[in-house]
Amino acid sequence: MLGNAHSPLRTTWTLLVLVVFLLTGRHGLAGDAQTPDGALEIERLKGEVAALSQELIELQQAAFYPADTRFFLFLSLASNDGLTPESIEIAIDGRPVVSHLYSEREKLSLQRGGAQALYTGNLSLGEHRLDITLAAQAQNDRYVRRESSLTFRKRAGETTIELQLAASPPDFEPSITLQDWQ
Amino acid sequence: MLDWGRYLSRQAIRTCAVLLVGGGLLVSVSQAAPRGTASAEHEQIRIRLAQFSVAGGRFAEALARVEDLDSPLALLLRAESLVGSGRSDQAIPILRQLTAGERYRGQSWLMLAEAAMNGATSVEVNIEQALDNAVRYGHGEIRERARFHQAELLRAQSMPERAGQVLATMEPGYWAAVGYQNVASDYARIDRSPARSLVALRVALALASEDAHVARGASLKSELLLQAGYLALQAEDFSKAEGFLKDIALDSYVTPEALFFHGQALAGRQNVREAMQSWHRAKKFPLAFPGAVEAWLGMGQGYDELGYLGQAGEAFLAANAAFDSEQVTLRSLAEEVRQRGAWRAMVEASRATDLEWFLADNRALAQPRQAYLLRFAESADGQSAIARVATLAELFRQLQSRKSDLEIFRQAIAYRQASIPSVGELETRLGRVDGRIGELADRLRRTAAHAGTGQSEQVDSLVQTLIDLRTVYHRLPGDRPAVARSLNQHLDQLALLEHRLDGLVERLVRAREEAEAMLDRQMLSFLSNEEERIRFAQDRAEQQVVYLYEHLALRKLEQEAQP
Repeated sequence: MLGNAHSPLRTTWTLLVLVVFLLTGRHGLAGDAQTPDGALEIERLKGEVAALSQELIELQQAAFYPADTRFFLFLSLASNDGLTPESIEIAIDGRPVVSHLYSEREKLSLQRGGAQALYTGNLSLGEHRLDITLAAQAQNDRYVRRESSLTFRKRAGETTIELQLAASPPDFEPSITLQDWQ
Repeated sequence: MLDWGRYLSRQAIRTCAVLLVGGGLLVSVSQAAPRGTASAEHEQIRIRLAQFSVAGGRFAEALARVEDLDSPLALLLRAESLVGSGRSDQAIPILRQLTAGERYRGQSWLMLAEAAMNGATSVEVNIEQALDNAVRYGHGEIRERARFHQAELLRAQSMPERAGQVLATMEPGYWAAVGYQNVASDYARIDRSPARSLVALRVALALASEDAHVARGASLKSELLLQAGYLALQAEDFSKAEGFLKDIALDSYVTPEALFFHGQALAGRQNVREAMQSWHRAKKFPLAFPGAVEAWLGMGQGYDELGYLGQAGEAFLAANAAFDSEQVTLRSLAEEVRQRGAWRAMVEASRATDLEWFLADNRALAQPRQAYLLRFAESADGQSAIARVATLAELFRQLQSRKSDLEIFRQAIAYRQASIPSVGELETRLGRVDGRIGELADRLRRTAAHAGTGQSEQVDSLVQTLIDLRTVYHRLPGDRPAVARSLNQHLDQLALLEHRLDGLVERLVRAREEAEAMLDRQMLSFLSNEEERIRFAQDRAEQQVVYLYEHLALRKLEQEAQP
């Protein structure tokens, strides 16, 4: 408070809003910013780039992941109140393939039932190892960092594995369940 | 030989093959119960994946996942992704379809209204009707946002009282508080007395404290207190002003301005010493922020009021030197903008394109470059100008990345084409593989006869892999022509995509050049205005110094003239 001793300058929520404005181009709440010149062209370009990216993603899926070796890994939360992930790192057979830091919106999405695509690629048939490093906040306000190694078997046909995170009371110790969606 | 039929039927049951090998770790692992293979479940997964993609702003990815799905949630995600990726016109029919259904009606009506209000669509939308329906069918945040927009529409028609009536029906929280803040601004413009404005601001303060988002609520509270303090100050109600201003957090964006007003309120009550303490704090902030320049001048005036004329002179001289130096900084920033462009000189150099780093750097506000950038971004025009270039820069980065992807895809497809084995080659290999699988199966059968419980599971797993391998190998000759055909089609698609990408790059470069030129003009004009503001303050400091010297000289003459 102003009546208290001076404290060093810090970044604030306002700053965050300002910088987010700055980076995303969202304007005033009351629509007081007029549609700028060239905005329509930018919107068109955004749409076309997104369409092109979408086609490329579909093409990539079709061309490079033959059904028999296709492997897809995704993550979800078992419930919305036990655990909030902060970051995750995954290596398959010792090769790092995922490193993700969660944004607030992404955390909220997971808590609302969203699922994160962690990895899409090709794996040979047979056993493979997953090394998972998870940093998360448990419901009892405890930050946890856990490392785990698991094996799974890649079968013929498309393999989809779901990593389900959970933490149950009273100690909210994180657990990971692997589910095969073949 | 192994009983293939038995294993095949087990494969159909589909168990979860997971083994924990990382002993000693705290994470526990459990086996999931098998689920059905119905496509409905796979659709559910695709929808949940799209939800996460939308949350991360990866709209192309989300669209690729739900494009062919038609459940209400899939449609909503498609609409959100289309709006998010600048294709609101394509989203409108989907939203209209949703408004006619049973699910997500409120959200769809709100999205329709917001698309129309933001000018993001050329399709005609009845905004009032859309907002009415969003209120009727929406819940929670959706309903509150819709009510807020309704109040804003009434404000835009110069009907703040009616806007207030709408706001009175809202739940306490952020949206209602912002609504009352805007109504307070209207009253401040219309009324001579600040009474109605202050009442509206007090209501807004009470509502903001109910915001579930603590940081957002705290920031809004600081803004509301500043607004209320300023109004009370204007009405010369110094005690009330002090009461509002002293509650503003010291780490707020409005702190320098609040400190200056706080000093003014104290000075208004003849408490100059304490006023100077507030100004002393305010002048530690960069001169870019409102209140900092005034605080420098306030220090001199404070010493003057208290009768310390020598120190007053020193304070004004210090202010003069600070203002002089600031003008040099502003001129050098302007020169840099002319030479490198505003985007590189101000935004990239401030590392503002890297949000995490920018916010983590606690020196960000202490640097003139960053401070002026933030001040520039306070105005809607400034935001638009930066956002245009930022969007185009990001699109350009995406296209460069896509171009590189295309090249890699082409090489990979060419490699796959070259490496497809001939039918004869496949059949030869098939014979060899069958022999090896048979031999391995025999060995496994022998091993299984003597295996313990744990070993049996491993044997089962290996048998399953052998079955899979055999199935895959036997399918290969039949699949070969289709694979070759499909690779050729992919190459054709790649050529088309590359052509489109080149056209987009050309348009993007043109649009970016125009957007950067506009940002340069606006930034130079802003820096020039800032220089003018500082020069004006310097004039005032110089006048004060001259006045003080004159006063001291006259006093000296008077003292000398006395016998």
